[in-house]
Amino acid sequence: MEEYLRMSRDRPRSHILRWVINSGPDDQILNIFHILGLPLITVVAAVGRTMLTTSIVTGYLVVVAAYITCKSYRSCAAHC
Amino acid sequence: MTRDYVAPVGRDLGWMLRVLSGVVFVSILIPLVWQEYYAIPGLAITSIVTFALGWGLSTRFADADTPNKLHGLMIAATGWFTITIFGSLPFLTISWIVTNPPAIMVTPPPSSSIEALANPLNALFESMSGFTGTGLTMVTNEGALPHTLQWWRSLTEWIGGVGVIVLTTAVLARPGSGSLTLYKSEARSQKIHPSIVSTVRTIWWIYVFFTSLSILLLWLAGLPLWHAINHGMTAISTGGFAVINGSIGAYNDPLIEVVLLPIMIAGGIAFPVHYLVLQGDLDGLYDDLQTRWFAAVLFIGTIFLYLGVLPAYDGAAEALRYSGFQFVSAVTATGFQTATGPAPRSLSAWPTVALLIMVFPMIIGAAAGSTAGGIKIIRLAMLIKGIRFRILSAFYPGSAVRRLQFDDRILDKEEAPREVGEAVIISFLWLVFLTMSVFTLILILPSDAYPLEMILFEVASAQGNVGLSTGITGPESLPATGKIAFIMNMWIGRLEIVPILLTFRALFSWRSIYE
Repeated sequence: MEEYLRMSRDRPRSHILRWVINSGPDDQILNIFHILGLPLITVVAAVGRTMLTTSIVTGYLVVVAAYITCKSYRSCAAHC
Repeated sequence: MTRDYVAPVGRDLGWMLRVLSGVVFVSILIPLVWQEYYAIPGLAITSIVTFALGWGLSTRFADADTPNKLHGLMIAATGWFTITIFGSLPFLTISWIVTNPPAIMVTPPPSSSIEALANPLNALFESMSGFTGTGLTMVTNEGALPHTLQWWRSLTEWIGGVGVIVLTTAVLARPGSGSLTLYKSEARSQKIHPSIVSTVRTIWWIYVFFTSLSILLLWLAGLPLWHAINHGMTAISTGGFAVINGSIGAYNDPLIEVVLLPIMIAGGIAFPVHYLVLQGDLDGLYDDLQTRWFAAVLFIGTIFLYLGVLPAYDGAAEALRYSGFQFVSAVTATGFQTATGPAPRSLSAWPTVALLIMVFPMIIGAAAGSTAGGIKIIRLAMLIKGIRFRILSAFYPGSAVRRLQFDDRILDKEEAPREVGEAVIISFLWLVFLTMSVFTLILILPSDAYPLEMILFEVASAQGNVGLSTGITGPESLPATGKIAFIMNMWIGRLEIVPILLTFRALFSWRSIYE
């Protein structure tokens, strides 16, 4: 997956995808989180507040927070 | 003012208007979704007029030179005011249609809030408050506004948070020194990448990402999605417009307040620091001088404010809840208010000492390079270190070679006075304009209607682009002169004064008034 994303970095088909991938931090996982944000809001707008949407949003936010924390921890462990 | 000035300024103003036109056009989706069809003509007219003028200017001056530093400052000053004028058109046109409904349109009954926005000065005030991220409002009941106008208020703050010029630079993607000049003229200095175009794109990447997270967090905390979208946008942009009457205090929900705290604080931290953290460099938070000082100001200021409001509340927990939120809201220049509405005490009923404590964070603001207002923490740090350096000079022999250490830089005997001098000039001018507006309000407001501390609070809130109000600001309570004074305060506060003074200077010398 990572290799595919790296290979496709310079030639995504969508202008929005190209903008996201070329503008953010050099981290494809964060790019995926970024791209997922707006569709998630759209899903919530379409479906409303249900157990499923609440679980998905909670999961998304927890995974984003955990990923950034783990990344920082790994980076600190490598440098400190 | 010769063509040397007019052409680069005109060309870039044209592009800014074209970008605004696109933003207004996309906003037509909102009345379509909410079936507020009467709002579409107002947005369409605004989009067409703005595009026509922008296209005319950018075409007429297409061969203009790359802007130099003076051009950049003038473009920032005139650009922000022009955008504000054209950004007021949706308020004006939609309100006018609702208050004077054509026979073929179904419109809601006009509320007092809509009627207030049909006044051009009120519409301009609302637009300036939005684009500068202030949050003071001419609307008496935000909940009664059509969704389209609620959206337009939030969107102006969201765009204004990172800056109109940053948006235009990202869209134009014009490389070179011209874009750098413009970028710096909008009260920014730090770059994330060597290229300015890459820097503004990364700023937008971070901004959009944080906005999505904020919206989802607020929704999860229990806000309806429409409220979460609008408050997420106005929280991360440290703007402070609400879509409910009584601001955040109307929810009376500690969970929503707790969720908003980190969002507002994130808005007060510089984008380059966010970038470092997203890259995995958590040390970037501590290594950055502004973030360290910001944390210290937050901690110490909240304690002082807590002690100031403690006698006014029934318990320590209640005092901590309101003082903590209001201090963060003030220092980050957000302006969300919880001390209002169903809360035990509104801001106007706070003790004098608490109101005066709140003036300090509203003047200082948060980090430079963030979405916050005020003179910025970096200047506070420079002032304190500069004063300390100067005083300690008395203890050294005249022949001693001393250098001022500032963050990770060592400033020599030429750099130190220049940088300290710049901080002194901005701070001095800030206080001069603050004082002028305080005197203006004392003169125009009914005698004995508002005590001095409330007037000082309100002016500091306007000039610091904060938006907290003790009740002076309103369509009826604030006379027209006061509205004009606040519009000026918000404008000079957003651009840190100097670009506006230089523009007036150029204008006066053009008309030979200055000579």
